Amino acid sequence: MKQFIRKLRGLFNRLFGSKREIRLGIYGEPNTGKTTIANKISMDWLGEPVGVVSEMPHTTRMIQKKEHVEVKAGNKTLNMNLLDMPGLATQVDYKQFLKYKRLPSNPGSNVSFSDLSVSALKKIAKNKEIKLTAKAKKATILKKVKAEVKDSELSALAKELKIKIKAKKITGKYVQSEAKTLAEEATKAIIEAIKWLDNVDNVIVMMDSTKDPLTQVNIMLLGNLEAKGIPVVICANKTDLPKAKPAAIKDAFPQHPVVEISALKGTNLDELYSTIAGQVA
Amino acid sequence: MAKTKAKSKPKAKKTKTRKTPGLDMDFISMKTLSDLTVEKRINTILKKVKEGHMVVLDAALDADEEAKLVTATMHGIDGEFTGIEFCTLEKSNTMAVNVLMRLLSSIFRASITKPGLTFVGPSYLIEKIKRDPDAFYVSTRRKN
Repeated sequence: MKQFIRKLRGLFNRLFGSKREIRLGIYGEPNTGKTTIANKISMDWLGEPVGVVSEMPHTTRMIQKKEHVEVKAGNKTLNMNLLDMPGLATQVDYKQFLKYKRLPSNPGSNVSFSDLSVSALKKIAKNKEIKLTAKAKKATILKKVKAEVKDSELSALAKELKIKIKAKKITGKYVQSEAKTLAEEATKAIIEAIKWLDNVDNVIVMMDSTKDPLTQVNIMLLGNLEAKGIPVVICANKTDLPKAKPAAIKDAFPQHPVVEISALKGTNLDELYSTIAGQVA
Repeated sequence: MAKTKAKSKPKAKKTKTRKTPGLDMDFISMKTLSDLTVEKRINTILKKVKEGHMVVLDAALDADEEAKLVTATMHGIDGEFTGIEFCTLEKSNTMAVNVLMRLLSSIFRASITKPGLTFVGPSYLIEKIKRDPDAFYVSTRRKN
Protein backbone atom coordinates (compact mmCIF):
# COMPACT_ATOMS: atom_id res chain seq x y z
CA MET A 1 0.00 0.00 0.00
CA LYS A 2 2.80 2.39 1.01
CA GLN A 3 4.59 1.50 -2.21
CA PHE A 4 1.44 2.30 -4.18
CA ILE A 5 1.01 5.67 -2.43
CA ARG A 6 4.68 6.48 -3.08
CA LYS A 7 4.29 5.73 -6.79
CA LEU A 8 1.05 7.72 -6.97
CA ARG A 9 2.73 10.69 -5.34
CA GLY A 10 5.62 10.45 -7.82
CA LEU A 11 3.19 10.36 -10.74
CA PHE A 12 1.28 13.37 -9.36
CA ASN A 13 4.49 15.34 -8.99
CA ARG A 14 5.56 14.52 -12.52
CA LEU A 15 2.17 15.50 -13.94
CA PHE A 16 1.80 18.74 -12.07
CA GLY A 17 5.49 19.57 -11.75
CA SER A 18 5.44 20.21 -8.03
CA LYS A 19 8.88 20.94 -6.56
CA ARG A 20 8.89 18.08 -4.11
CA GLU A 21 11.70 17.61 -1.66
CA ILE A 22 12.84 14.03 -1.37
CA ARG A 23 13.95 12.56 1.90
CA LEU A 24 17.29 11.02 1.03
CA GLY A 25 18.46 8.57 3.67
CA ILE A 26 22.11 7.60 3.85
CA TYR A 27 22.32 4.08 5.25
CA GLY A 28 25.02 1.49 5.72
CA GLU A 29 27.18 -0.30 8.22
CA PRO A 30 29.34 1.68 10.67
CA ASN A 31 32.46 3.30 9.23
CA THR A 32 31.39 3.10 5.60
CA GLY A 33 31.52 6.88 5.13
CA LYS A 34 27.89 7.95 5.63
CA THR A 35 28.70 11.14 7.50
CA THR A 36 31.65 11.85 5.20
CA ILE A 37 29.40 11.82 2.12
CA ALA A 38 26.66 13.76 3.96
CA ASN A 39 29.23 16.38 4.95
CA LYS A 40 30.60 16.53 1.42
CA ILE A 41 27.14 17.07 -0.13
CA SER A 42 26.13 19.57 2.54
CA MET A 43 29.41 21.51 2.39
CA ASP A 44 29.27 21.67 -1.42
CA TRP A 45 25.69 22.91 -1.60
CA LEU A 46 24.94 24.51 1.77
CA GLY A 47 28.38 25.39 3.03
CA GLU A 48 27.92 23.67 6.39
CA PRO A 49 28.73 20.18 7.67
CA VAL A 50 26.24 17.61 8.93
CA GLY A 51 28.18 15.85 11.64
CA VAL A 52 31.42 14.70 13.18
CA VAL A 53 33.49 12.05 11.38
CA SER A 54 35.81 9.70 13.24
CA GLU A 55 37.33 6.24 13.08
CA MET A 56 35.24 5.13 16.03
CA PRO A 57 32.21 3.09 14.96
CA HIS A 58 28.82 4.51 15.94
CA THR A 59 30.11 8.10 16.04
CA THR A 60 26.73 9.09 14.61
CA ARG A 61 24.25 8.09 17.29
CA MET A 62 21.31 10.17 16.22
CA ILE A 63 19.75 10.88 12.85
CA GLN A 64 21.35 14.04 11.50
CA LYS A 65 19.29 16.14 9.11
CA LYS A 66 20.07 18.87 6.66
CA GLU A 67 16.98 20.38 5.15
CA HIS A 68 16.43 22.12 1.82
CA VAL A 69 19.59 20.94 0.09
CA GLU A 70 19.43 21.89 -3.58
CA VAL A 71 21.78 19.90 -5.76
CA LYS A 72 22.36 20.40 -9.48
CA ALA A 73 22.51 17.15 -11.38
CA GLY A 74 23.17 17.92 -15.03
CA ASN A 75 20.18 19.93 -16.21
CA LYS A 76 18.04 18.78 -13.29
CA THR A 77 17.75 20.10 -9.77
CA LEU A 78 17.42 17.77 -6.82
CA ASN A 79 15.66 19.22 -3.80
CA MET A 80 16.25 17.09 -0.78
CA ASN A 81 16.31 16.69 2.93
CA LEU A 82 19.50 14.85 3.72
CA LEU A 83 19.27 12.25 6.46
CA ASP A 84 22.56 10.89 7.77
CA MET A 85 21.65 7.67 9.54
CA PRO A 86 23.49 5.90 12.35
CA GLY A 87 25.39 2.82 11.19
CA LEU A 88 23.40 -0.40 11.19
CA ALA A 89 24.84 -3.35 13.09
CA THR A 90 23.70 -6.55 14.76
CA GLN A 91 25.99 -6.15 17.75
CA VAL A 92 27.16 -3.32 19.98
CA ASP A 93 29.78 -4.11 22.60
CA TYR A 94 30.54 -1.23 24.95
CA LYS A 95 34.13 -2.51 25.29
CA GLN A 96 34.88 -1.48 21.71
CA PHE A 97 34.61 2.18 22.72
CA LEU A 98 37.23 1.89 25.47
CA LYS A 99 40.11 1.98 22.99
CA TYR A 100 39.05 5.27 21.43
CA LYS A 101 39.82 8.79 22.52
CA ARG A 102 36.90 10.94 23.54
CA LEU A 103 35.46 12.95 20.70
CA PRO A 104 34.60 16.60 21.10
CA SER A 105 30.85 17.04 21.19
CA ASN A 106 29.32 18.23 17.96
CA PRO A 107 29.15 22.01 18.41
CA GLY A 108 25.56 23.05 18.74
CA SER A 109 24.20 19.51 19.07
CA ASN A 110 23.60 19.63 22.80
CA VAL A 111 23.79 23.22 24.03
CA SER A 112 23.64 23.94 27.73
CA PHE A 113 23.23 27.34 29.38
CA SER A 114 26.85 27.27 30.54
CA ASP A 115 27.99 27.24 26.87
CA LEU A 116 26.40 30.64 26.21
CA SER A 117 28.20 33.97 26.24
CA VAL A 118 26.58 37.22 27.42
CA SER A 119 25.90 38.30 23.85
CA ALA A 120 24.29 34.93 23.08
CA LEU A 121 22.11 35.19 26.19
CA LYS A 122 21.09 38.73 25.17
CA LYS A 123 20.19 37.46 21.71
CA ILE A 124 17.91 34.82 23.25
CA ALA A 125 16.43 37.35 25.66
CA LYS A 126 15.63 39.64 22.73
CA ASN A 127 14.03 36.78 20.81
CA LYS A 128 11.92 35.82 23.82
CA GLU A 129 11.08 39.49 24.52
CA ILE A 130 12.62 39.35 27.98
CA LYS A 131 13.16 42.84 29.35
CA LEU A 132 16.70 43.55 30.47
CA THR A 133 18.34 46.66 31.83
CA ALA A 134 21.33 48.03 29.94
CA LYS A 135 23.70 47.19 32.80
CA ALA A 136 22.31 43.73 33.54
CA LYS A 137 25.03 41.23 34.53
CA LYS A 138 25.45 37.75 33.08
CA ALA A 139 24.00 36.03 36.18
CA THR A 140 20.84 38.16 36.03
CA ILE A 141 20.37 37.62 32.28
CA LEU A 142 20.96 33.88 32.72
CA LYS A 143 18.35 33.67 35.50
CA LYS A 144 15.75 35.47 33.39
CA VAL A 145 16.50 33.42 30.28
CA LYS A 146 16.38 30.17 32.25
CA ALA A 147 12.93 31.12 33.51
CA GLU A 148 11.67 31.43 29.93
CA VAL A 149 13.62 28.80 28.01
CA LYS A 150 13.64 25.09 28.77
CA ASP A 151 16.88 23.07 28.54
CA SER A 152 15.33 20.89 25.85
CA GLU A 153 14.57 23.79 23.52
CA LEU A 154 17.92 25.53 23.95
CA SER A 155 19.80 23.68 21.16
CA ALA A 156 17.08 24.38 18.60
CA LEU A 157 16.85 28.02 19.67
CA ALA A 158 20.62 28.49 19.47
CA LYS A 159 20.55 27.01 15.98
CA GLU A 160 17.62 29.22 14.93
CA LEU A 161 19.35 32.37 16.18
CA LYS A 162 22.64 31.24 14.60
CA ILE A 163 24.47 31.38 17.91
CA LYS A 164 27.95 29.92 17.53
CA ILE A 165 28.97 27.42 20.19
CA LYS A 166 32.61 26.47 20.62
CA ALA A 167 33.36 22.74 20.75
CA LYS A 168 34.45 21.63 24.21
CA LYS A 169 37.97 20.30 24.44
CA ILE A 170 37.96 16.86 26.01
CA THR A 171 40.96 14.53 26.05
CA GLY A 172 41.75 10.96 27.08
CA LYS A 173 40.09 7.65 26.29
CA TYR A 174 36.53 6.75 27.17
CA VAL A 175 36.04 5.18 30.59
CA GLN A 176 33.68 2.26 31.21
CA SER A 177 30.65 4.33 32.26
CA GLU A 178 31.00 6.57 29.20
CA ALA A 179 31.46 3.55 26.93
CA LYS A 180 28.28 1.99 28.31
CA THR A 181 26.39 5.21 27.63
CA LEU A 182 27.75 5.28 24.08
CA ALA A 183 26.68 1.67 23.55
CA GLU A 184 23.20 2.43 24.85
CA GLU A 185 22.92 5.43 22.54
CA ALA A 186 24.19 3.34 19.61
CA THR A 187 21.56 0.62 20.14
CA LYS A 188 18.78 3.22 20.32
CA ALA A 189 20.14 4.86 17.18
CA ILE A 190 20.04 1.57 15.26
CA ILE A 191 16.41 1.02 16.27
CA GLU A 192 15.58 4.56 15.14
CA ALA A 193 17.39 4.13 11.81
CA ILE A 194 15.43 0.93 11.10
CA LYS A 195 12.15 2.71 11.93
CA TRP A 196 13.05 5.48 9.48
CA LEU A 197 13.12 3.01 6.59
CA ASP A 198 9.39 3.70 6.36
CA ASN A 199 9.93 7.46 6.04
CA VAL A 200 12.56 7.86 3.35
CA ASP A 201 11.91 8.34 -0.37
CA ASN A 202 15.33 7.43 -1.75
CA VAL A 203 18.32 5.78 -0.18
CA ILE A 204 22.06 5.80 -0.66
CA VAL A 205 23.55 2.59 0.72
CA MET A 206 27.18 3.18 1.60
CA MET A 207 29.55 0.24 1.33
CA ASP A 208 33.25 0.11 2.06
CA SER A 209 34.80 -1.22 -1.14
CA THR A 210 37.86 -2.51 0.75
CA LYS A 211 35.65 -5.00 2.60
CA ASP A 212 33.44 -7.96 1.74
CA PRO A 213 30.03 -6.50 0.75
CA LEU A 214 28.12 -9.73 1.33
CA THR A 215 27.26 -9.04 4.95
CA GLN A 216 23.92 -9.83 6.52
CA VAL A 217 23.39 -6.15 7.39
CA ASN A 218 23.73 -5.14 3.73
CA ILE A 219 21.49 -7.99 2.63
CA MET A 220 18.87 -7.14 5.28
CA LEU A 221 18.99 -3.45 4.39
CA LEU A 222 18.65 -3.98 0.65
CA GLY A 223 15.95 -6.62 1.19
CA ASN A 224 13.88 -4.18 3.23
CA LEU A 225 14.32 -1.37 0.71
CA GLU A 226 13.36 -3.68 -2.16
CA ALA A 227 10.27 -4.88 -0.27
CA LYS A 228 9.21 -1.28 0.39
CA GLY A 229 9.89 -0.24 -3.21
CA ILE A 230 12.36 2.47 -2.23
CA PRO A 231 14.87 3.37 -4.98
CA VAL A 232 18.45 2.59 -3.98
CA VAL A 233 21.86 3.74 -5.14
CA ILE A 234 24.80 1.81 -3.74
CA CYS A 235 27.95 3.85 -3.21
CA ALA A 236 31.10 1.77 -3.45
CA ASN A 237 33.08 4.10 -1.22
CA LYS A 238 36.79 4.44 -0.38
CA THR A 239 37.90 3.84 -3.96
CA ASP A 240 40.93 6.02 -3.22
CA LEU A 241 42.37 3.17 -1.12
CA PRO A 242 44.65 0.62 -2.83
CA LYS A 243 42.67 -2.36 -1.45
CA ALA A 244 39.39 -1.12 -2.92
CA LYS A 245 37.45 -3.66 -4.99
CA PRO A 246 34.29 -1.89 -6.16
CA ALA A 247 33.71 -4.67 -8.70
CA ALA A 248 32.95 -7.05 -5.81
CA ILE A 249 30.03 -4.81 -4.80
CA LYS A 250 28.72 -4.74 -8.38
CA ASP A 251 28.93 -8.54 -8.53
CA ALA A 252 27.21 -8.97 -5.18
CA PHE A 253 24.27 -6.66 -5.91
CA PRO A 254 23.74 -6.55 -9.68
CA GLN A 255 20.10 -5.54 -9.25
CA HIS A 256 21.04 -2.03 -8.01
CA PRO A 257 23.04 0.82 -9.56
CA VAL A 258 26.51 1.02 -8.04
CA VAL A 259 28.47 4.28 -8.16
CA GLU A 260 32.17 4.16 -7.37
CA ILE A 261 33.10 7.12 -5.21
CA SER A 262 35.56 8.45 -2.70
CA ALA A 263 33.51 10.50 -0.24
CA LEU A 264 36.71 11.74 1.33
CA LYS A 265 38.17 13.08 -1.92
CA GLY A 266 34.77 13.95 -3.39
CA THR A 267 35.33 11.96 -6.57
CA ASN A 268 32.54 10.89 -8.92
CA LEU A 269 29.80 12.71 -7.00
CA ASP A 270 28.28 14.05 -10.23
CA GLU A 271 27.52 10.49 -11.30
CA LEU A 272 25.93 9.88 -7.90
CA TYR A 273 23.71 12.97 -8.25
CA SER A 274 22.63 12.03 -11.79
CA THR A 275 21.81 8.47 -10.71
CA ILE A 276 19.63 9.75 -7.85
CA ALA A 277 18.04 12.36 -10.15
CA GLY A 278 17.25 9.60 -12.65
CA GLN A 279 15.46 7.64 -9.93
CA VAL A 280 13.49 10.65 -8.73
CA ALA A 281 12.31 11.44 -12.24
CA MET B 1 54.44 -44.22 72.57
CA ALA B 2 54.57 -44.91 68.99
CA LYS B 3 51.90 -43.28 67.07
CA THR B 4 49.79 -45.51 64.97
CA LYS B 5 49.23 -44.15 61.62
CA ALA B 6 45.56 -43.95 60.92
CA LYS B 7 44.78 -45.78 57.80
CA SER B 8 43.36 -43.42 55.29
CA LYS B 9 40.36 -44.63 53.44
CA PRO B 10 40.96 -45.29 49.80
CA LYS B 11 39.78 -42.27 47.91
CA ALA B 12 36.67 -42.73 45.88
CA LYS B 13 37.37 -42.37 42.24
CA LYS B 14 36.17 -38.99 41.13
CA THR B 15 33.79 -39.01 38.27
CA LYS B 16 34.86 -36.36 35.87
CA THR B 17 32.16 -34.00 34.79
CA ARG B 18 32.56 -32.83 31.24
CA LYS B 19 33.71 -29.28 31.37
CA THR B 20 35.23 -29.04 27.95
CA PRO B 21 33.93 -25.90 26.37
CA GLY B 22 31.57 -26.82 23.61
CA LEU B 23 28.95 -25.37 21.40
CA ASP B 24 25.24 -25.74 21.88
CA MET B 25 23.40 -25.88 18.63
CA ASP B 26 19.63 -25.94 18.36
CA PHE B 27 18.16 -27.11 15.07
CA ILE B 28 14.57 -25.97 15.04
CA SER B 29 11.91 -26.65 12.50
CA MET B 30 9.95 -23.56 11.51
CA LYS B 31 6.84 -25.70 11.91
CA THR B 32 7.21 -25.52 15.69
CA LEU B 33 7.24 -21.70 15.53
CA SER B 34 4.65 -21.24 12.84
CA ASP B 35 1.78 -20.75 15.29
CA LEU B 36 3.57 -17.87 16.96
CA THR B 37 3.45 -14.23 15.94
CA VAL B 38 6.62 -12.83 14.34
CA GLU B 39 7.52 -11.04 17.58
CA LYS B 40 7.10 -14.18 19.70
CA ARG B 41 9.02 -16.22 17.14
CA ILE B 42 11.90 -13.75 17.29
CA ASN B 43 11.81 -13.66 21.09
CA THR B 44 12.01 -17.47 21.19
CA ILE B 45 15.09 -17.41 18.97
CA LEU B 46 16.71 -14.59 20.92
CA LYS B 47 16.07 -16.28 24.26
CA LYS B 48 18.08 -19.30 23.11
CA VAL B 49 20.82 -17.10 21.66
CA LYS B 50 21.09 -15.18 24.94
CA GLU B 51 21.65 -18.53 26.67
CA GLY B 52 24.66 -19.02 24.41
CA HIS B 53 23.05 -21.33 21.87
CA MET B 54 23.43 -21.24 18.12
CA VAL B 55 20.06 -21.55 16.46
CA VAL B 56 19.49 -23.04 13.03
CA LEU B 57 16.06 -22.78 11.42
CA ASP B 58 14.93 -24.71 8.37
CA ALA B 59 13.53 -21.57 6.74
CA ALA B 60 14.83 -18.17 5.70
CA LEU B 61 13.61 -15.14 7.60
CA ASP B 62 12.27 -12.46 5.30
CA ALA B 63 13.67 -8.92 5.21
CA ASP B 64 11.02 -7.58 7.59
CA GLU B 65 11.63 -10.39 10.08
CA GLU B 66 15.36 -9.75 9.88
CA ALA B 67 14.82 -6.07 10.66
CA LYS B 68 12.61 -7.05 13.61
CA LEU B 69 15.27 -9.50 14.79
CA VAL B 70 17.90 -6.72 14.77
CA THR B 71 15.51 -4.32 16.54
CA ALA B 72 14.70 -6.90 19.25
CA THR B 73 18.42 -7.63 19.62
CA MET B 74 19.18 -3.94 20.13
CA HIS B 75 16.48 -3.76 22.81
CA GLY B 76 18.10 -6.71 24.59
CA ILE B 77 21.71 -5.49 24.57
CA ASP B 78 23.22 -4.89 27.99
CA GLY B 79 26.62 -5.30 29.66
CA GLU B 80 26.56 -9.08 29.12
CA PHE B 81 24.64 -9.64 25.90
CA THR B 82 26.40 -7.79 23.12
CA GLY B 83 24.29 -8.82 20.17
CA ILE B 84 24.04 -11.45 17.47
CA GLU B 85 25.53 -12.59 14.23
CA PHE B 86 23.13 -14.11 11.79
CA CYS B 87 22.84 -15.31 8.26
CA THR B 88 19.98 -16.34 6.06
CA LEU B 89 20.18 -18.43 2.97
CA GLU B 90 17.18 -18.29 0.77
CA LYS B 91 16.39 -21.05 -1.66
CA SER B 92 16.39 -19.10 -4.88
CA ASN B 93 12.97 -18.96 -6.44
CA THR B 94 11.97 -17.66 -9.79
CA MET B 95 10.95 -14.01 -9.95
CA ALA B 96 7.31 -15.05 -10.44
CA VAL B 97 7.32 -17.17 -7.26
CA ASN B 98 8.89 -14.33 -5.27
CA VAL B 99 6.30 -11.83 -6.51
CA LEU B 100 3.50 -14.29 -5.76
CA MET B 101 4.81 -14.89 -2.24
CA ARG B 102 5.08 -11.16 -1.55
CA LEU B 103 1.57 -10.64 -2.88
CA LEU B 104 0.10 -13.43 -0.76
CA SER B 105 2.01 -12.15 2.25
CA SER B 106 0.61 -8.63 1.85
CA ILE B 107 -2.94 -9.86 1.18
CA PHE B 108 -3.08 -12.16 4.19
CA ARG B 109 -0.84 -9.89 6.27
CA ALA B 110 1.06 -12.91 7.42
CA SER B 111 4.60 -14.01 6.88
CA ILE B 112 4.92 -16.95 4.56
CA THR B 113 7.68 -19.37 5.40
CA LYS B 114 10.45 -18.98 2.86
CA PRO B 115 12.35 -22.14 2.03
CA GLY B 116 15.94 -21.82 3.06
CA LEU B 117 18.05 -21.64 6.18
CA THR B 118 18.61 -19.20 9.03
CA PHE B 119 21.51 -19.24 11.43
CA VAL B 120 21.57 -17.02 14.53
CA GLY B 121 24.23 -17.03 17.21
CA PRO B 122 25.58 -14.82 19.99
CA SER B 123 28.14 -12.36 18.65
CA TYR B 124 30.64 -13.15 21.42
CA LEU B 125 30.88 -16.73 20.12
CA ILE B 126 31.04 -16.02 16.44
CA GLU B 127 34.26 -14.79 15.01
CA LYS B 128 33.26 -14.50 11.41
CA ILE B 129 30.60 -15.48 8.92
CA LYS B 130 31.88 -15.73 5.39
CA ARG B 131 29.18 -15.75 2.85
CA ASP B 132 28.83 -16.89 -0.72
CA PRO B 133 25.66 -16.50 -2.73
CA ASP B 134 24.76 -20.15 -2.07
CA ALA B 135 26.58 -21.00 1.16
CA PHE B 136 27.92 -19.52 4.37
CA TYR B 137 30.78 -20.54 6.64
CA VAL B 138 30.78 -19.84 10.36
CA SER B 139 33.96 -19.53 12.43
CA THR B 140 33.40 -19.64 16.17
CA ARG B 141 35.37 -18.73 19.27
CA ARG B 142 35.70 -21.09 22.23
CA LYS B 143 33.28 -20.64 25.11
CA ASN B 144 34.95 -19.46 28.33
